[in-house]
Amino acid sequence: MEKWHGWAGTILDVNLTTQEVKRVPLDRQFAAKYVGGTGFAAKYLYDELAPGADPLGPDNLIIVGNGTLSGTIAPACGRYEIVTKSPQTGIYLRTNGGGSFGPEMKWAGYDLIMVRGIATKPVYLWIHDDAVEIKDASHMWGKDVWETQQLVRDELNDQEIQSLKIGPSGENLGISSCVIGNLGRAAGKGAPGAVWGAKKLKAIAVRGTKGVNIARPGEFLKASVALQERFKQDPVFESIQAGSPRYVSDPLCIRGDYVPGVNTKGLLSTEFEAKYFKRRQGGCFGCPISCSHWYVNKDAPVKERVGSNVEGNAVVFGGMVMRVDNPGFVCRYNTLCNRLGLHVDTPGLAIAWAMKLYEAGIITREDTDGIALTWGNEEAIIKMLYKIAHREGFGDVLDGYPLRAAQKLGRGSEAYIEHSKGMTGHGSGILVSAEFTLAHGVSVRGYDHLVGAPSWPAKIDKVPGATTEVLARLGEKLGDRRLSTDLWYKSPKKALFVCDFENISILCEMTGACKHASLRGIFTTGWDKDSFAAFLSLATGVTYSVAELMKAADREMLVERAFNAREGIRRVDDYPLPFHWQLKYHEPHPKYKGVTFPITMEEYDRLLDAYYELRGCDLATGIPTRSKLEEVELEDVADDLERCGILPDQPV
Amino acid sequence: MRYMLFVDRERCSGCRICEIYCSFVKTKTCNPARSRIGVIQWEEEGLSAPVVCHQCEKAPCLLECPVKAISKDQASGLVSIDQNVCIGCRECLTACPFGAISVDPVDNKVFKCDLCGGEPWCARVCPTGAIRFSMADRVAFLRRREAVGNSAGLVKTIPDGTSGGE
Repeated sequence: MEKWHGWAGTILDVNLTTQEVKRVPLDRQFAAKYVGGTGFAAKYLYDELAPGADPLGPDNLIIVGNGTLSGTIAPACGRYEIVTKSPQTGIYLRTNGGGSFGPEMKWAGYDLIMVRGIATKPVYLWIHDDAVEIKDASHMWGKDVWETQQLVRDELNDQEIQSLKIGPSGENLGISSCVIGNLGRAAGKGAPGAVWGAKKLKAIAVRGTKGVNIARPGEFLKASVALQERFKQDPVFESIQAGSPRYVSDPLCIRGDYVPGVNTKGLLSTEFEAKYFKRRQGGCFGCPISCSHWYVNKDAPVKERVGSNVEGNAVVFGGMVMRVDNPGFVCRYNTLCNRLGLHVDTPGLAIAWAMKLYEAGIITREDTDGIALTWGNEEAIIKMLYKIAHREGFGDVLDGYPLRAAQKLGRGSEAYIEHSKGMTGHGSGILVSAEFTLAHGVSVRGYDHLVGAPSWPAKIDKVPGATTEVLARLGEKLGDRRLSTDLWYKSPKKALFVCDFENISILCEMTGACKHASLRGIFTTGWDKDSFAAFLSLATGVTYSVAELMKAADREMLVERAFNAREGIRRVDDYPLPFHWQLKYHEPHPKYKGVTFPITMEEYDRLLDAYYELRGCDLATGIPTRSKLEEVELEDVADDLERCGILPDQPV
Repeated sequence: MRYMLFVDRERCSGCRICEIYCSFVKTKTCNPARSRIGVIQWEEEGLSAPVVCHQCEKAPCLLECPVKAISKDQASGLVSIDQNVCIGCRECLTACPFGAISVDPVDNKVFKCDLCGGEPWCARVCPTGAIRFSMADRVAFLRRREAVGNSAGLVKTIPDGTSGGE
């Protein structure tokens, strides 16, 4: 058989109901067309999961992918991807994490791992190169993430094993659950952990010794060395290395009602880093940046004392939104979330919501199991985290944040939730810039900044090494400097800006590249479209041009939009945070002090029209059209949408 | 003069770039299982450290080898395995106190670091400076300079208008 390059060449298909394990050869044409990672996974999910399936039922698939460049010497390409139907939103979900799992899976010889069915008792999957076993995990059920990782390694007598696993939250089908690689490399959004819990899948453990072949090794070596060097010479390298808390610079939540009068500067300062972060850097496989620093918080209880990678969102959602200004607490929160298998954003937002309700007198101690949910009450937050993970008492209500929680509680509490397509949200995303607002609105997994929002929309000049000029170059590449320098420039061209970022994000997820290392274009010399095309060509032996890659990214996006269309997502769902749209243009925002609502519904509609036109979607419904689908060789998807009776334009 | 790879564990980020480059340069495949260097991690302690071959003066692997397949080059200090003589008994694996000799999962041969002929890739690509390559007698000087500079904060107290206490 002809040797594979770049790709591993095998898809693992495991059915937990029948205990059947299949090793399916990857099709070469499919590989070249869909590139890898989420490109593969999105198409498999679309083809294999019928519309309307229960995310927690036996039909739903867990698809774990790694990028095409994963496990190679290409810098910062070690991320794993999970694609599934989300129990939180009921729509398409792609979510990814770093660490070492993706590469290890590649070295074991797999491009995708698909898990379907439901096991009769807790199990874990043990993959050692070609040998695959479904093993009993009854003794691991109830254990936290860190304990599980150790149990797996001890039981299989190999400390180099990499694993993805869930904590108590996933076992209890929690909406706040995530899947974690290493000790804290989480695929967080959209509750993938609950899908694992429903299948009674505690972990996937993998050890690989087969490696990856490269089509043109000499040139690949040269290109990798050069890119790694360029990373280090980039003016923003140092600030990126410091980790993402650094660029939580003046977010709306500092100015807003969440943290009035609290000095949150301490959460962002370098003193925070000096006090809690050890000098030693930590990071993911193959990454020269190493942004996730190890911390030790000597004052914390034993189980919450150490951990790594406090990132920007942990600072915002594990601190600011609950009006906590103590960096040590953010470390505790972060560790506890990682151990319990909780996504760092969701519980923080849920607890902040409850604190708001508690303050307003809508809930009292009687509802909260006797816990005083007052702003900034650290011990109450810790107790609630355990309750959320175990869905115990009031924790069961909070776990379902946003939609399910508000439904369960009632009493007008839904007026206080923020979401888009059922995904938790926060005003910091939509009050920043026109492109942020649009990207959060159209995001295929629901409200999110990692699907298409440009990085660092504002305050770039606060980041050492970065300048407004750097930012301006992004717009210039698309023909208009104002695109990237004027936050509320409402030209329809902003839609082009968003499409471009969405596509670069997709390229990251296809290759396994870290979005932090590309910052979707802003990293002046890091991963950009040209380097993706060059590296993929050298690695796989298939020649990709930038245009072909952008077409492949369009293709994935259309598959995802078509998937969502089958689940009933329409234009009306492509608006971010419905709560905000009741506000009038330039009316002072009730939640965010000093902020006026910066965009009108009509202006947003024009941006959305422009976006749909660029994406080849019907303006009335947001569903991909046949002509566009055929343009990117997705005739089968067009036929399927037609069978479902939702294809917007019919063939002539 | 003897050159050596020396490791500063405090600087290791656990990225394993050394491993993946090593395997790629030596075998044309990206496969840490075939790397001459290995990074060991204790995740819960936040520790990671690369393990290198020290090219020992009294190399236990050399002394243990029953067929004298392992030799030490007196000029460069390099300890190497002659695959034509090696019988594959793997005594050297257990003899090495560091675990710097491995068995290749593909061809089942034992292998070790050959310092890439004098320009080791691991040191070249290490992004944090945790692995460096230097003449052995210079290592102590380098370490002293770093130790004094770091521990006493001496470098910082040079009057430049920015120091003067927290």
